[in-house]
Formats: sequence, C-alpha cells, structure tokens
Amino acid sequence: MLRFEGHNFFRQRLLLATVSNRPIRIDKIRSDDEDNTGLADYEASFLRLLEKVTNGCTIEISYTGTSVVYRPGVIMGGKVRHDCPPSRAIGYFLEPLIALGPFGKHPLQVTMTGVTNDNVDVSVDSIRTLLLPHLKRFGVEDDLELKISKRGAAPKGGGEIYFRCPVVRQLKAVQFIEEGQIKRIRGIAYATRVSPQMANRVVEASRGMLTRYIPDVYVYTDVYKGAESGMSPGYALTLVAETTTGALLSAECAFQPRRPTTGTDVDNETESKRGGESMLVNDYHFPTPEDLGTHTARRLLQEIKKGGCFDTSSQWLGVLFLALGPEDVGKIRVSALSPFTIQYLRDIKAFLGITFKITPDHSNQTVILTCLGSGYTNTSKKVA
Amino acid sequence: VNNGFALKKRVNLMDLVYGDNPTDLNENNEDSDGSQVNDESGLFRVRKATRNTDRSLALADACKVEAKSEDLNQWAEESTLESLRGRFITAQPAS
Repeated sequence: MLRFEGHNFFRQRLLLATVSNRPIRIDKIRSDDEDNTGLADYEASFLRLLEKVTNGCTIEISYTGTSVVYRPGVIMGGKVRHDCPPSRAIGYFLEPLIALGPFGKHPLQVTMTGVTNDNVDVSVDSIRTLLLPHLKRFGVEDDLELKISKRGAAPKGGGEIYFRCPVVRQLKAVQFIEEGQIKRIRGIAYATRVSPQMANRVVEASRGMLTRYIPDVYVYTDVYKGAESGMSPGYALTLVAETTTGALLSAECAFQPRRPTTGTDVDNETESKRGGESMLVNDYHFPTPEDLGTHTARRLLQEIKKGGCFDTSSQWLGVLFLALGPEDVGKIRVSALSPFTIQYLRDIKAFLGITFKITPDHSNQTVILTCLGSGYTNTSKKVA
Repeated sequence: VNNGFALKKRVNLMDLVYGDNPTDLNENNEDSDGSQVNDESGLFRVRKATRNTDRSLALADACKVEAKSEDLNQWAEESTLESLRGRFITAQPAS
C-alpha cells in the first residue's frame, strides 16, 4: 500500500490510485489544524464522487478524519449526478473525472451542480475550451461534450453542467512540441444576476487589448437569466489563444465580491468557508468590469509569453496522459513547470513507476517533457 | 521577471523534480523551514503561513497559478506589448 501524508494533492493521488488500481493510505490530514482538523467537506465530497463512478472501492476514514484508506474499484462511468459543495468550484470535481472518464466501462454522463467559476479552481469554461480539445488530441474525441446549463457564481453557486465522455481502449501517443504562431483568440464573458452590460464591458476592454496583435479575436457574451442564473451574482472572463499547430494558451478571471469586514450574518459564514480562497494572494474585487477584462487579457499575454503547447492549467493533463499512453515515446512542450505539475510528476512516478526526461529549452524558457508511456489499456472496452 | 522554475538559472530540472531533497510543497513541513516563532513564555507556538504566489494555489490542490501584479503591470508598457508581436501569425517576417 502506498502511503502519503497531508491533505495536499488529494485528488491526484486518489485519481492515480484509481487508474493504477493501487490502494493508498493518507495520514496526517490537517492533523495540526485545530480549527479544521481532518478532511474538508469538499474532499469528503470528492471521495463520494469516486464511489459513484467506480464499483467495489472501499473508503475507510478515521474517527478524526485525519486518515483515509482507499482501495480502488473498477472504473464504471455511466450516468452520475453530483452536487458539489459551494466550498469548491465544479472544476475541482470535474478535472479528475476528465482523466478518469475515458477508462470506464461505460461512457460517463455526469450532471454536476455548484459553483461554475471562481479564482481558485479551473472554470467550466476553461475545461470546455482548453481541456476537451487536449483530450481529442489523445484520441478521446467522439461524443465528447460539456454543456453549461446554469451558471453559479461564488459563494452560493447553483450552476449546473453536463459532461459526456466516451470510453477508449488506449490513448494515442502524442508528440507535441511545435508551438506555432497564434492565429486566433476566443473567449467567453459570462454574467449572471448582474446587468448584461457587465459582460459587454468586459469584452470591449479585453478585445481592445488583443486586437492590436491579430484581428481574429472573438469574445462571446453568455448572459444567464431567471432559473438558469444560480444563487449569487457574478461575472467572469475566460480567454484562449490558439496557434497554427493547435497549441492552446488560456487565462481566466472571475469577479469576487469583497467580503464584509463586519457583521455576523449567515452569508458571511458560507463565504469564509470557501476552501482555497484564503490562499489567494491577489484581490479580485475589480472596481469596474473593464478592470477585470484588462486583468484577464494581461494574464493571457503573460501566458503567451511563457509559451509551450500546454499552458499552466493544462500541464497536468498532458503529463498524466503521456504517462498513461501507449508504450511509445511521448513528448510535449510546456510552459515553465508549475508547482502543481512538479508534484504530479512525482506522484506519477510513485504510482506508475514512470520517470520523465525533463529538458529545459533555454532558447525560449519552455520545458520539454519526454516519457515512455505505460501502455495503459482499458480492459473493459472491447476491441472494435 | 518571470517566476517560472525554468528561468532560475541552470537549475537541473531532473533534480528539482525527482531529487532526494525536492522542494517540498507539503504544508506539513512548515516546522522545518523556520517559519515558526516561539513567544516569550514558550507556551504558544505561532505558525506563520508561508505566502508565495507561485505555491499557494498548488497548496489548495488547484492547478491554476496566480499572476503577480508587478508581472501584469508590465503589460501597461508599449515596449512589453510590442515584444510579443512575433508570437502571432500577423507578425512581419524579420527583415
């Protein structure tokens, strides 16, 4: 049994345990934190989600919640519904499912409710426009869909998405190191429970900054009303730049209302419980929608400057799917390795025994990651 | 002025990722990095959270990385904006 300590990197360890079918034990989960000892509600919720998409797994949680033993079952897929707690955005729960879905017995059809956009987890818009195209590159392509039927802004959420993912027998080997040049920029500015004008103003500000480089910039506005607008007001912008070789570089930002400094109302309580928000360094309370648009556009330029074929928030998927790929040399170019990806590489080594060759390209400060895939095969999927 | 790991001069990335003493991202290791202060009476131990833009969201189990505001402010300058032109198909071939 593999052993880990601490609450960090919880999802990737459970995900890797599931695909590699290896039991794990995690100890010292916030054992030093007197106020929030043990598993957080979103971590417990993620464990329940794993129970739903697999069959035969066992989860033992210690009385204090500081230790978890997880013995994975068979990845089933099929129709699943999950209500994500508002403490984390839907992206927290959906990200690992994107990696798990292709290896199920049945195509995954999951409906999730909760917060669709925030500044901690990757938004459902980024998952749709960034991660799904990457999945296609690895051979997961027919019937792949992510529908955002309701928006849910933080803190209360109330959004709803539907994700459908086909099963594959094996991933395709990928060698993707040509960055190409940026040929178009797409984006989505959503607004819910605020004036639709907010989305338009976000679009104007971000477009204005990006059209100096290229005319093909289109930012859609997506305004939600009535039953589809969730429980909190909010707006956000997601931008994706696409190159001639299909590399995708993204940036996103969501408006975050400033927390009341005084007051004891119940709303305050739910807000302070939002996991991860205390980790944010920047202030995302923008005085005007133009500020949010400019901020996001600048973040996109920053990401374009970093380069790579997989941007910061999709690095983990590229790394994981290379490791799970066929027994062939896989190779990708990424922007500077993020701390999250570095730990992913270590955990991949622990679970799958795969070590990447990591070569910095000093000509443009990117990194080339090479590995021999593990030849992972979905035995539930019959050869066509 | 990039905070990426690849830019730190001549860091061996293989060692950084797989080395025996990898930069530990685990919060449980706070005790070892001296971020703890004893108060005079010795009764209480004050824990100081290490705040690092690069790491904080990884500690929250999220793949996003926040951008430092000083890194973003450089995009207010015309010269920085122009430096990126070569990355677009609209760029004129260097003459």
